Amino acid sequence: MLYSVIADTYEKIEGTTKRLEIIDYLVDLFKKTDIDLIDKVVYLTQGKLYPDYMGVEIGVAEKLAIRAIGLATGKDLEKIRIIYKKIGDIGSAAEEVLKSRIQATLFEEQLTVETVYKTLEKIAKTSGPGSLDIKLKHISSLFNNATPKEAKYIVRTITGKLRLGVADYTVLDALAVAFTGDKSNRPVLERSYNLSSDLGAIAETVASEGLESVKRFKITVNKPIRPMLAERLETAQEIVEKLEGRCAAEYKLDGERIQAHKDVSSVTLFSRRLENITGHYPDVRDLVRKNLKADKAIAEAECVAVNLDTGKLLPFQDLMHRRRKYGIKKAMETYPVSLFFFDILYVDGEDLTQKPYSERRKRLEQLITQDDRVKVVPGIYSDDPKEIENFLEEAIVNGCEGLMVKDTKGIYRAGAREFSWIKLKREYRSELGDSFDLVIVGAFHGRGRRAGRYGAFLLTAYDKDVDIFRSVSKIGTGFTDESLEKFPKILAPYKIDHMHARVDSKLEADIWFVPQIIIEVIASEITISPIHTCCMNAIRKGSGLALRFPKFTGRLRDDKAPEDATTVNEILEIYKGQLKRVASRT
Amino acid sequence: MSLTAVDLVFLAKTSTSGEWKVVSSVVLTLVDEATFEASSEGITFRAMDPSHVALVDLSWPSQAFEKYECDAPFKFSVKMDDFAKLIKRADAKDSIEIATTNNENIILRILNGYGREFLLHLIESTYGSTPLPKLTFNIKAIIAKKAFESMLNDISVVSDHVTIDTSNDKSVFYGKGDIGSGSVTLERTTPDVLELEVKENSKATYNIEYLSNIIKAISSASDTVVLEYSSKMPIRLELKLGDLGGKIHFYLAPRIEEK
Repeated sequence: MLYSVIADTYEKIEGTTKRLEIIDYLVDLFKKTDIDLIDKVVYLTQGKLYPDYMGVEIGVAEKLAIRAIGLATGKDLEKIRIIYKKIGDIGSAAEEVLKSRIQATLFEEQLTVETVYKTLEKIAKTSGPGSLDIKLKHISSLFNNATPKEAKYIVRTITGKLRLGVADYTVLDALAVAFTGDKSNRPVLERSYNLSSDLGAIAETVASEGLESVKRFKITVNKPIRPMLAERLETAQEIVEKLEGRCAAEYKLDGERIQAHKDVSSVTLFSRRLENITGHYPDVRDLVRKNLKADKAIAEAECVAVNLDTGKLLPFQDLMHRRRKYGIKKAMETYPVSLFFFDILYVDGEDLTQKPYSERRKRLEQLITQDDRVKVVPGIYSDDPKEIENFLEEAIVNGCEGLMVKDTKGIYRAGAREFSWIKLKREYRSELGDSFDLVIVGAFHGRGRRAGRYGAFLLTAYDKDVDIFRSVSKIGTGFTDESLEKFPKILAPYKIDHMHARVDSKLEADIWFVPQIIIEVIASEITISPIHTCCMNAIRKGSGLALRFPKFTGRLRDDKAPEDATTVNEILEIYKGQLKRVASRT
Repeated sequence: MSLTAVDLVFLAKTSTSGEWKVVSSVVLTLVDEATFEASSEGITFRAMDPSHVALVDLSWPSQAFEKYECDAPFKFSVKMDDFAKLIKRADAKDSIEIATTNNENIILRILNGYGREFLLHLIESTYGSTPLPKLTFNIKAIIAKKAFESMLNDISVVSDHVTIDTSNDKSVFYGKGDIGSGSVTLERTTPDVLELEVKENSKATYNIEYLSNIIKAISSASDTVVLEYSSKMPIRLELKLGDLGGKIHFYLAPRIEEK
């Protein structure tokens, strides 16, 4: 299969702002793809070689890419740098340089997907002394046969800048259409995706064996399960009503959610975003190995920084010192952690996700050996809002963010966010009980003191049903000078020259971005807005919902993927809760 | 001498150092590391520069050596810089002996009255094997190396590339650049043209630097150049490595003509 087929598709995807068209282009591509390459093509369209949890990045620095372009074209490096500086995009710079190539090569042959993929694999896997030279040779060998357009996308892929905005759900939609002929089959594919986190494996299965095989996907140790997520409500009363009294309230700790996979003596740890973070937490790995009594198991725990002398739990910021590449041993000593297990999904061949919460909790208590470092998360069963409120107070005194209240009969729905798990946090700082995690999709030029920088940002909430980010706020408050300095740098890699295909906004931002960066925001209330598109027509025809008096808390949520942002449904629920409270006050 | 006939795998001795000096210069024009293959037939080497523009294919038959022994096919990869530095230590009339008993080192001896011996660690080669381009040539010309070299020097004054246009009875070499243009005509009757074979009139353009580098590297080891090419196709130069049958083929891809 020729790589040009992929490059042509990339070009089409780049040229559209409509998500439906992106799906169409992907469907075309997938239909043209040889079945034995479909997994690789799926990974490539997302700029990857493997599913995320494998933790393999191609990771070529721009400097090296430029050297490779020079080597392959015989062009002076300084000239290439000047072109890059002028164009501002390393991929387009490569395209430009290759267009002016005047020297033929001895063995010209068209690049195939197989060659590109294999070479990229070699580049990703080469490490150690001398690896730069070897990478250089591999990269330039691709350029020797690449057309300018192909070179553009190869460079973007190796430098991690492909960013076509092909989201997981977009791929699932396209796979459903391409191989089952019907987009309505996406939920079947989505379910297996939630159990395996591997789009390539699903693509391969549906393409070669059909939908029935996809339905038989099972949980596998060492393949992360997409985490179940929580909705939120404002009061214990609302939660008890919503769950009809079937409430199990647990501490919601201010740490990092970890999915631990135990495979006899080996333990693998995945973050909430399913990155392999085993290397960051050798201590956690050992605790799981020792305290989780099963040969093969998948369990979830909150990892919290702790003061070992006082036993006091420390805030999230302390724990983040553990997310480093070097000096892990020292960080491990300076910032020790405790583990609080809160769910068990799989034990020795048995899939527990289909069991009700109460049974999973019981199994968890049996399987975890508790000691001063490892606990099952404290929790109570209660249908009494008063009791739950008291438990919330206790949790907060003990350094928690709040409570997680779960339906005692609820199964574990991988990847789902629904009212089976409900967050409850204490009201503080603002009228609204909680902060929002919103995605920056645009920015506005600053004036006055902020001239020359960004003055305000356009924020969106995530509409999961259609995989679109909808505008909910224009925010300019809460930014320090220091953070304003920082944002242009943080956002620079995501700058695009038009509104992103997955964004829905009536407001015209001065600068647009790929939805990637999430910030934490508080607000005084949610109001009806004719400008913002979040929950458009849900409350009033022609109007959406927006944050009133939004304020940046100063916290970047780089632990979250854009799809983990506050959803439009949550905004709607909070708005409804707000109405109820207003009604009860009058 | 420490080597015994029992564990000897490979030994190649040349009576002067000239051939190895040429070989290391030629290889250095293309790559920074080289894998030589030895068999009972002799030594061969083939590599392409990293941009795949030029290729060297060298064959050095066993009879071209003063002494040659090779029990079994054997490959050795060296960092060319280091290898060339050692070779340079030899004077023109010194004899050079390369030998090995294992796959980790080669022993290089420079012999002239007294013995100098170096042990060079072999490296793991990062290059894959190189195929030969499949080409048919419509032009074959045998030209005195001196004439070819001075033609390159002439044209390089005005241009960094040379166009070779061959018709029935002559080859015209010309170049054009910012300062002007120039041409050199070699007719069939020119004494420096030893042979001219034309199947089809052909015209192609090549980078001068690549050609000059190889011609400089070959030094006096070859007194003639066999030049073969076709329109818009790679050129092949055949050069001699001394007078005992050693041979170097140099391939160079053409420049892409502007549209």
